[in-house]
Amino acid sequence: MPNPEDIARPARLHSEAPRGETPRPETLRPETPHPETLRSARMRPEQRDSERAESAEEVIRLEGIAKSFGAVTAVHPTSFSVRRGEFFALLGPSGCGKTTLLRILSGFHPPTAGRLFIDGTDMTAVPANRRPVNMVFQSYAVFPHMSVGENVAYGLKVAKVARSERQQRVREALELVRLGGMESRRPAQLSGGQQQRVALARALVMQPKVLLLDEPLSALDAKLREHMCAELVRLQKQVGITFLIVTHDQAEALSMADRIAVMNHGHLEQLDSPETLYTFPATRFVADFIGRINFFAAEVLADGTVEAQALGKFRPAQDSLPQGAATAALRPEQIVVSTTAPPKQEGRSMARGTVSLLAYYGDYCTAEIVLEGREDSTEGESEGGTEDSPKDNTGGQAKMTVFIINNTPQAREIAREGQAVWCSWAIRDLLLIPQAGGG
Amino acid sequence: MLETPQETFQARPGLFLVSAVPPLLWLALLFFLPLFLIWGYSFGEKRGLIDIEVVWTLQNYADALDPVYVKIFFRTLFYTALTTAICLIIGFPVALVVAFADERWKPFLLLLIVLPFWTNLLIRTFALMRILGRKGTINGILEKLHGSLDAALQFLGFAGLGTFQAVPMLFNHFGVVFGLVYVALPFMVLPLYAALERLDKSHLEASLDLGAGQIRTFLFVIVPMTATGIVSGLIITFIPTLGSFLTPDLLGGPDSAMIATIIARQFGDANHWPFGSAIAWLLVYVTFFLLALQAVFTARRESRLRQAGERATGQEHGAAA
Amino acid sequence: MVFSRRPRQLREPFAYASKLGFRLFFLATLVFLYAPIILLMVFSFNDSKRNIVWRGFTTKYYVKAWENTGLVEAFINSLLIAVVSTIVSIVLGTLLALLLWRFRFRGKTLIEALSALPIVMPEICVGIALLVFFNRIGWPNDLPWPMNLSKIILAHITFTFPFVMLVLRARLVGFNPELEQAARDLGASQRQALFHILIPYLRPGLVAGGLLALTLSLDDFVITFFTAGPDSVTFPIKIYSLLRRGISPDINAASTVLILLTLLLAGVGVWWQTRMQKTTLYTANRPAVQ
Ligand SMILES: Nc1ncnc2c1ncn2[C@@H]1O[C@H](COP(=O)(O)OP(=O)(O)OP(=O)(O)O)[C@@H](O)[C@H]1O
Ligand SMILES: [Mg+2]
Repeated sequence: MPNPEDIARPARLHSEAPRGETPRPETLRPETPHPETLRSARMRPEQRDSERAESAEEVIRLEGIAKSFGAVTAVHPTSFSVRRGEFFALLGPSGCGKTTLLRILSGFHPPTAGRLFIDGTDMTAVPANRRPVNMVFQSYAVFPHMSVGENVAYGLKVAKVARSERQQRVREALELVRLGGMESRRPAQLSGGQQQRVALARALVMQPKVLLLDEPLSALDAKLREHMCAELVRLQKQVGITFLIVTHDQAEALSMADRIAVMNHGHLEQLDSPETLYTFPATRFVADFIGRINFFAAEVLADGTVEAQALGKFRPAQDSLPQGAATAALRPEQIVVSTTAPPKQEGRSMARGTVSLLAYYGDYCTAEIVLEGREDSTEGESEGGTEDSPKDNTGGQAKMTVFIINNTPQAREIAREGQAVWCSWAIRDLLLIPQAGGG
Repeated sequence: MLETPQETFQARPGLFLVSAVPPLLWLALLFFLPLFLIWGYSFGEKRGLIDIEVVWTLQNYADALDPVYVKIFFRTLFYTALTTAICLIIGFPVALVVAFADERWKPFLLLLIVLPFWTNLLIRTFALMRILGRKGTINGILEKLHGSLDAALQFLGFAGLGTFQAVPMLFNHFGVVFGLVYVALPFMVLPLYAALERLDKSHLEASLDLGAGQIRTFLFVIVPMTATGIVSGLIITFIPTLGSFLTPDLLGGPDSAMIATIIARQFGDANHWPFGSAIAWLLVYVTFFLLALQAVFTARRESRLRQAGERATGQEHGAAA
Repeated sequence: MVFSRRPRQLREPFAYASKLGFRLFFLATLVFLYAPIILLMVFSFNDSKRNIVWRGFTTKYYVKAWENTGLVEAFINSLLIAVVSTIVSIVLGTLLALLLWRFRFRGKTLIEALSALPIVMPEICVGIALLVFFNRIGWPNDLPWPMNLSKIILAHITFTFPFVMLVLRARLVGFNPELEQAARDLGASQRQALFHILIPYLRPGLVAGGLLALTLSLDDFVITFFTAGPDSVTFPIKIYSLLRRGISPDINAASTVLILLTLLLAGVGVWWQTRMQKTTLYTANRPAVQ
């Protein structure tokens, strides 16, 4: 058994670290949802045989890691793995425990339970300064009393890397983050964006097994953030180091990451590729958190058909749904809006409504459409009232939000408050989330 | 940071005058004028028993160079430097404990450190006399131990330890330094605590994250980043200790006089006010010098560090190069 | 896989308060700071002259101290001086704090530095300077009680009000000037805005500063020593003269009374401070800016 104390930090990893066979985003899954996505709402490694097979490629494994601060439980027992060479994002709303989890990985918080493996070695009890991972702090934490070069060289000095090699590597790292020639500058003379690059270079120069980034973009303005997003993806590809990034911004996570773990209230809700998360959210929370979506109270009947508020009765594309209360969900972009009734089509459904609330975004509008009620399905639809959002159709007037692309002939017709319209959608686009997964 | 109003005299002359005149006049009349007066006296000459004439002589300062006094100056300096060093060594770990303690405990721990500062200096010194004295608590305990050990040894057949000799801890150098440290410790802990409290903890974590151990992090990150706090702690401990009067007077022996002892003597038995004023002003000069030193150090250091902090957290415009 | 030993439990790296070595060090420091004071208080009830063996509980030294009229008079003098100088200190300190917070004027930095000087100036220098000053202007020495305390009171105000100023300036940093502007916007006059908004906001600072001034005045020995006349004796001066004659247990008793008094003041201060922080009125004034 490897003794954690014996694991010296690798003095130097190979310069061109073997590029892991990064599983780049798989092509979009078939349009019919895999029953599996629905089944395993919460991922547990032992349930996912596919994950098991890849265990050789995993660089971080969490086994039931949990953390409480006194009475507050920040992270409930959580298990998942991060694959070597991937760009991994931890996504979730504020206070859901992302930072806590990251700090457990870096060694600043001892977990209350569970075990942590880095590259196959148990690191649960290894102090932060002996872990082969490095962190880019949200506040950057660039040492103000050292020059840029000294900052980047700090970790190498600690690791007793020879002077000439140190200088060489510092130079390389700074060039990597496009700060070449700035060695002798003081952090006070750098902009925030540049300081962040120093922090990046300082961590990258250590050639960590995993680079941890805590909300690295949150202090930047919108333009610079977009730029840094692309920059981080480029860097990750160039150095081949596994990146684990924490963010509360879904756009950031979706655009950068190979895989995203969505967290809520200290629980892992779903771990999947961005496409799968968006298209087949496993829980109501994930569906709601990522992108926009319309919810309708629904019930799965004994014969496998579904009765949903305002949507009527239909046979869903998914089978083997558990009988009972469920939520039907539909993305705005999957809804076609027209002023005249669309022709009846096999596999499509429609409803009449009135445009009530318009919000203008330049290239598109969102419109809230009040649907004409279907008396037969709205009665007695109260399902415990877990969440109370306007898109949550649990009774009264049913509404749905739709997108209207601006500056088209149809848009000029539709985008008027009070306009009577038809909404239609493909039945197979209706996603059904069983109540159990409704969080 | 909230903006503070920046009104001018023209905007509210009434309020300005009301808030400026009484306190500033008071300071001028009852603080600066008296100090200025003894500054004049320090160039004066004694005429008769109570009359003093300011004749702009440097004789009083020259008198201060007498070996008797120079010896006392050096002793004072030694006491003060030793006290400051001991306070730093004790104060830093204490400040670390308080600054990094759980938020719930922090105010309580801080209170524990400053509470003795609220009790009367004279009484604290008196309390030390009762502890350190020949018949004090510590010697009492030692005597008890000595007695037991003596009895045990004799019981085992060894020669006894003889009669108990009280350890001299009062009315000597030890007593003075002990008392000075006792009094000055909170002065050291508070600025250190304030500096550590301001320190962004993620810098320490970054150091650890990059592989440095605790000691290295302390020496190369904590110390340089709290340098202004350390300097102000050193100076805020040094100045009052340098001017200590009660501690050497009550805890010291015949050879423990400090600068303040000489000054007080000139206004008492020795009755030589011009000479006393000159020595007091030597102390004032040293105080000014130390304060200026601190101001320069802090200004240079803070401006460098603060800029860095502000930029790091501020919003950043435009794409980076 | 065989586990040879349980992995050592990892700890928060900078939680010094939970590390054994640091804990013991902190504890030792507390013993160093408190043992003398606590022993002094405990042994003031001891039926023996020595500070080491407990010979039974007694209050006879308290009675003895009480019967010492000089001591009681000195105590009353001290209280009177402390109260009067605190009141004046609060007024002067508030004015100075407002001046330095509110106004922009030439030489402000210099005034700021100069007004903090009484805090750092060695007490012995201030003491003899005031002695010379009062002597020079011929302040009468033989005034009847309580006017014979006037020199001490003036001296105490001089070194306490800068402390009040510092406490209030720290408090003013958190004041949101928009509150005063809001009051003006709602029709308050400048004077009303000052007294309805700013002064209530300052109240915790006024209490803290006042308590500080009170204890500083009660505690002061050096400056008082040089400004006191032969017939104006304060409590510390009295104890000092008793000490010069030799240690006796009634000093223990008298000291204990003063310690308890200052502890009470400190307690009131802390209690008030926490109570103020809990009042939403005062914390809501600080927007969450950092
Ligand atoms: N040191 C601590 N002591 C007590 N509670 C804590 C501590 N750190 C975090 N928590 C609590 O744990 C929970 C998770 O916090 P965490 O910082 O991990 O959230 P987060 O997902 O990073 O949020 P954000 O997006 O706001 O940074 C929160 O409820 C927080 O209050
Ligand atoms: Mg966070």
